[in-house]
Amino acid sequence: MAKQKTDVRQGTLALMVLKTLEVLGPLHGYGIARRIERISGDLLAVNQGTLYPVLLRLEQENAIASDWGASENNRRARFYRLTREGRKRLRAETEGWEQTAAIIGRFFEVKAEDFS
Amino acid sequence: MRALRRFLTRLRNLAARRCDDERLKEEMEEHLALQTAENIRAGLPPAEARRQALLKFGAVEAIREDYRAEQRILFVETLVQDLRYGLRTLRKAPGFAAVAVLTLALGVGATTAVFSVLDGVVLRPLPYPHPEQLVSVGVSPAALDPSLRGMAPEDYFVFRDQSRTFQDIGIYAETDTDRDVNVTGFTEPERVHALNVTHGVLSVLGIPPLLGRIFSPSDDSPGAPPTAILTYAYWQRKFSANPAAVGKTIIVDGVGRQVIGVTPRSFRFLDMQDLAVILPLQLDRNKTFLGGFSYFGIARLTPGSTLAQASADVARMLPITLNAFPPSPGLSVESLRKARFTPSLLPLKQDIVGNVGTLLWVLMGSMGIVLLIACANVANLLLARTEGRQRELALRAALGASRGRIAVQLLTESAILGLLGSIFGLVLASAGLRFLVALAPSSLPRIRDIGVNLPVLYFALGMTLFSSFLFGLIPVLKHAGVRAGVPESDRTLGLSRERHRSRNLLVTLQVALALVLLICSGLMIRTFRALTQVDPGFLRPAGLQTFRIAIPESDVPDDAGVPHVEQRIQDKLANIPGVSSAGFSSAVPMDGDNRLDNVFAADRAYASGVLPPLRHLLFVSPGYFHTLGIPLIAGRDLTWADTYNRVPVALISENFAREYWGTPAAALGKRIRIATNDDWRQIIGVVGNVRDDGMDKPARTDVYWPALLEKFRSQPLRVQRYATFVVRSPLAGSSSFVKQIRQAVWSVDANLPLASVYTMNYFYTLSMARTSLTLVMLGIAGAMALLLGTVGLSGVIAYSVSLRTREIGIRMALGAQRRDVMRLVLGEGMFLILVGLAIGLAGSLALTRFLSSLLFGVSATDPLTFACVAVLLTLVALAACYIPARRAMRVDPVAALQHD
Repeated sequence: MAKQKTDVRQGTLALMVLKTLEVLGPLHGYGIARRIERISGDLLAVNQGTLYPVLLRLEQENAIASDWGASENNRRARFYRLTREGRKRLRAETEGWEQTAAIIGRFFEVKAEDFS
Repeated sequence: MRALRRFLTRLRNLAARRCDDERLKEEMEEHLALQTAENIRAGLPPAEARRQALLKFGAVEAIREDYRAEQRILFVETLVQDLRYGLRTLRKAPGFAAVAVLTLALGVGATTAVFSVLDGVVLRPLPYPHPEQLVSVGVSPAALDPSLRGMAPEDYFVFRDQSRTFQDIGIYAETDTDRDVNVTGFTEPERVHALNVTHGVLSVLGIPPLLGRIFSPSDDSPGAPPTAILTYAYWQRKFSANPAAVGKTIIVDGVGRQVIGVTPRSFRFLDMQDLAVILPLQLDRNKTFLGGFSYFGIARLTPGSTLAQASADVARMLPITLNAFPPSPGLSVESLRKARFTPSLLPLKQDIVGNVGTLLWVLMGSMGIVLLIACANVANLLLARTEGRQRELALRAALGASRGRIAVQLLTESAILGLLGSIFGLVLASAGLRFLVALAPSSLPRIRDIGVNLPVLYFALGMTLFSSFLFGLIPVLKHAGVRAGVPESDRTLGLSRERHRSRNLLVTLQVALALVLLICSGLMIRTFRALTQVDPGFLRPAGLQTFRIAIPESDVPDDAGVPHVEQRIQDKLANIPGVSSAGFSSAVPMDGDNRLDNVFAADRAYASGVLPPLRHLLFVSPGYFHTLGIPLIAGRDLTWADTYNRVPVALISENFAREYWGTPAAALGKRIRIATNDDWRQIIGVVGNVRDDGMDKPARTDVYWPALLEKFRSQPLRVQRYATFVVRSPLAGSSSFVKQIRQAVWSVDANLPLASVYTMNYFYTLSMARTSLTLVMLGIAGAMALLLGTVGLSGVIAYSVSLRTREIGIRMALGAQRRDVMRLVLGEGMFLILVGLAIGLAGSLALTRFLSSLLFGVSATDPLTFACVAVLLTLVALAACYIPARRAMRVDPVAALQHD
């Protein structure tokens, strides 16, 4: 059960990473974390570090690519950017996500009498 | 797709042993630096800013673990790690590893060897396309003898033309007299096995020829030019595999036949051995009379038809047959109707394999028990070992190993043992298999197709996994849940009741299982003894040489001349130095001859249309009874004068005489015959019963006729062209003696090949081959069970003694005598033995009935066997306990108390 929960969160986190990169362009890990944190409230507030395994996984799946670059304080940082594959995936998953959200939303609107 | 790519990347990582720890470290540093800077900007002092940044980042180690997990295939890595660790620990305990591997190898080897036989003989489908459609077709005279089954030409014609469930049907002749043929014209005359088939037989089996063609309807129509098909082996041997053999002519029993085809190498006709030539069976529909019964049928069902439908179909056609042909002379349609012929259809495989399945399943079960005992032994070893590793496991648990992780580690070690065990086991199995095949050359059908093949390997693998899991699970259940923390001291641990209980339970189980196997072997020993004590009806089979010859018409065209040739051979044989007597007969005891017929007696009234019981018919020479040592109970033996003058006489067996006339003497002078238009024949002698069907079957009623007969079975003259000669000599069986015999035969007729050259002992042991095979196999299983069981028991008691050294020391210090200590240890062992015996006896009572079809002269719950085996096992087991008990007696109280 606990494991499943992580998977779900990893999935959402991955989608957030892709969306962030799409909107903001190439970004280093800290930048992504900050963006997600700011938009999602406290989903990432506890463990920013969990982002890195997700980034690695996305990279292995060819959804994103990374290169070394210079950060704001002029140190070496790894910059992540969306690949074509990642864009495709983002589009597909956004669609799926919206559909799911719509269905779930409709279900929550349903009142008892609608079932009878 | 995505998962696959990830997997491939990780596989690459695994192969390159790459780990991007550096990159993560650098990224984390940068992340923390940025966050710290941010925090400082927000007004926190630098130290606090760094602390907050770390807090926000989360547990670094956990993330690093996750990160690594993303890079690799975790399962494989832990497995590799566990394997390496397991091998290392095993290498550190070579004695333990060797004993465990050897024990498992014995168990897996024995099980696998027997499984290969079971698989090859019983489980594997027949080597023909769509074997499930093949059926053996026969009819049985239910009112006469339901155990008889066969087919008659008239049945074949009707079934072939009118069946709704057969695609095709064929019949073949397998009676011994028709099976051997003389092939001449090459070098020396040779007598080989032949098979006579209608054209349907080979096409029903669906095997295309290697060369040429198979029989077509034109080959088996009467008057067609004679043809023959060669088997691969014969073609290799006689024609050196020359394709030009097809089209050549061979001379079979004096008839030139054109070779039209060669069967493929893998072809086997059912289970027939050493088949050389296949000949077309030319049946003439216009000369077919009701009442023949000496053929066997095979058919291929139409797709979708069931055996039951086919049986119903045959039942429908049987009355049609009775009306379609005239009866043989001397038989009435009415009497055939009264014999109540009923369909007897079997799946072809069942027909070939017969009842050997029971035997093999019993052996399989017993080897399975051996494997269980072996597993129990290894489990006990592992338990003891794991107990010794208590500290190590506790340490691992303290360092954060989960229960599952420890369980996997322990199971991996068991699996290593299991795998090593089964590798050696497979070696043992292939050696054992060779032994098994040598042990049972012809008593098992399909035995030559047996080998270690893929299904067998799968089986061995399955057995390995199963047994590793079985013996690996017990220590896991006991120890994987070990709590983190400082383990208690070793001494108190070992004494823990609960842990001891599982070891005791395993040993009890071993004793129980060993008892079951030993009782089974005991019952087989009693069976074997009972069989060897049965009087076969003849004397000293080892001193009797037998061989078969056939005198073809091309050699001696005149029927009446045949007995003269045979007598000359008999006389020549009798003159060989050392030979005390010689004779011949149409068949010798236990050679599988099955020539039966209805025998009428003149002083009996038979209701119209009712046939009298079937008797076994033999055609013998004067001197045959004397040579075999079959006692003459009343009257006199045949003479050559009886034979040549065609005097209508016969001899019968004692049981026949008693059945009809009360005493052997009363049978003398009575008259019998076979067909209603035959001459009556006077009974001139009564001889002892012969166990023709083997020692475990009651003797059949036999009728012996002279080798030359007039007006017999509606034939004007009958001679015995096929004869089995018997020669009594102390040299029987030696090759020099066989050479002398051959010279004697060839001095009479150089064209006569000798076939089936065996001593009578061959038939005698063959008739008991199944019993001996079961006996040997169960004996091996029982011996292994006894060995493993006692080793296990001894080990457990020794372990218990080693744990109780201190207690024993105290007892001795308090005045206990060595005898008392001995009693203490043996008492513990005795308790385990007795519980095991009780379980084993109950188990045997339940299980030995599966053996009952293999037993003879002893009941499946024979109290004597049960008692003897129980006593034997107790004694051996106590002896096994005695070794550790002696060590216990030698405990030095001072040393024991000073110990730790």
